[in-house]
Amino acid sequence: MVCSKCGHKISNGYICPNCGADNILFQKARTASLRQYNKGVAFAKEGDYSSAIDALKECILFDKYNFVARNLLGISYFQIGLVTEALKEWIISASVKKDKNPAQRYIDSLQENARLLEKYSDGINMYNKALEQFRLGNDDLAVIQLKKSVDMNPALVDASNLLTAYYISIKDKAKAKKTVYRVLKIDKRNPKALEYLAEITSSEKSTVNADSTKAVSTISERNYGYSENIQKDRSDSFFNKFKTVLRTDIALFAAGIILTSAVFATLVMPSVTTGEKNKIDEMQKRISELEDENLNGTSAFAVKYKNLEEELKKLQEENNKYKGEYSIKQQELDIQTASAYIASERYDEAAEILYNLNADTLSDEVKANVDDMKAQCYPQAGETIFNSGISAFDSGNYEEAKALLQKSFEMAPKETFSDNALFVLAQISEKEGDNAQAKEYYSRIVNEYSNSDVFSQSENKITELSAQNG
Amino acid sequence: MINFKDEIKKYEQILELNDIEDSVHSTELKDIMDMLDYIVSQSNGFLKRKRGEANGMQ
Repeated sequence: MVCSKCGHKISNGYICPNCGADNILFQKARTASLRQYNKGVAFAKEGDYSSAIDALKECILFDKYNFVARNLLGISYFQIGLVTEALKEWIISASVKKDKNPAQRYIDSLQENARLLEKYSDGINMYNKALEQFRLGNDDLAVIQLKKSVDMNPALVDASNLLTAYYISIKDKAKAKKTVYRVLKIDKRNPKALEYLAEITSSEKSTVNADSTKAVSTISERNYGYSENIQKDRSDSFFNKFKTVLRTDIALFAAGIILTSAVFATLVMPSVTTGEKNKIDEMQKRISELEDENLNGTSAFAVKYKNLEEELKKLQEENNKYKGEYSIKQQELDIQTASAYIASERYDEAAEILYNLNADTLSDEVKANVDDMKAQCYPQAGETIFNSGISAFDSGNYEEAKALLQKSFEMAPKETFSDNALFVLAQISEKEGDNAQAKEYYSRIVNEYSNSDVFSQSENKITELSAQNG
Repeated sequence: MINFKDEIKKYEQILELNDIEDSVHSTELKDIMDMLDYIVSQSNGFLKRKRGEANGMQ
């Protein structure tokens, strides 16, 4: 066994030979602490913070190092507006257990919200001042301060309780009730609030009783004028008579209700039911009619939908027509522009426009005209594009070079640079690992450009690539 | 009916923010175990004295 107090090993008995502590008592104290902690947790979960505070105070009385209980005690204080008490408990808790203790987080969180903390603190300050003013007999001033205190720190149940006590003392039950319920909303079983509520309720009952007795005695005096004892007997007999009359009235009233119900059930209900049935029949008929219309496509909605569909189709056709017309006009404009460029020897720009024209939509006559224009500008433009492609190839930009050289070859396949364009395209294909495509380019040079300066190189390449393919 | 003057006596001043530090420092952390410890130490002294007295008489 290890001593709960000093950690010394106890070989015999339960008294520590080192510190003399009775370990059975220590264990019992610790168990009692845990029991109180569990109670505190249960109360706090219910929202009964006063009871939770009592239990948790006892808990730390049994074991001052129970930091978890101390944290919960702080939280319970915080809930009833005692922010400073809460802070105090968390500070002590943080000093008792430095690691893995949420108390420091609670403190930090309060310090981060400095304005809120200040507001709560001002509320407490106002409460203390109000209490002092009450003791000095300056009730009016005290009430003003107390109200301010509640405004600043609405959870401060002590301030609300004090206000309730004051309202009870001046017999303002409505306000007293309001404040007492506010406290019970925060702290479910606050003892002072419950005591005040009982006080308010009992005083209300006694007022009601006093009022009824007064009324009865007034009636007795007015009608009979007998002595006190006789009056009491009379008032008793009056009550008995009143009860009998009341019973008869109730019985008659009940009989009236039954009779009315019976008349209603026999005369009114059938006509009401028939009316409802007719309505249901009509509605069912209408539903089936609508279902039929829906199936046949003759319903108003179906007809409207069909018309709209037709309208949409017509509009789409019109749109396509306009698009086509626009395209033809645009092409006419493009051809005119290209023609103007050729006239001013701006072949590259003219070629670019003609290259992007859609030849499929052109008439044969226009197409022939466009072909003539292409023959005029394509060789020049093809050379310019070829040169750009070579520059791109030299700078290692193969993607761009490929696109430019393909375009150049497409525009000018029978010029002096055309075989060179194919040769560079073949090299790019080789770099891309597409040997089949490369071989095709080389073959075209050999087959189509017998006078090419890269003829023999192309032949060698074909042999080399064929050998690689095996 | 409550007597307000008596009722006020049941209320106490609440700890203010500026006084927390002093309050924490002045709080002596004592629990039942400390009290037990105290009782044990006292009873040991008492027993020792009693034993001493008994030995003196002999």
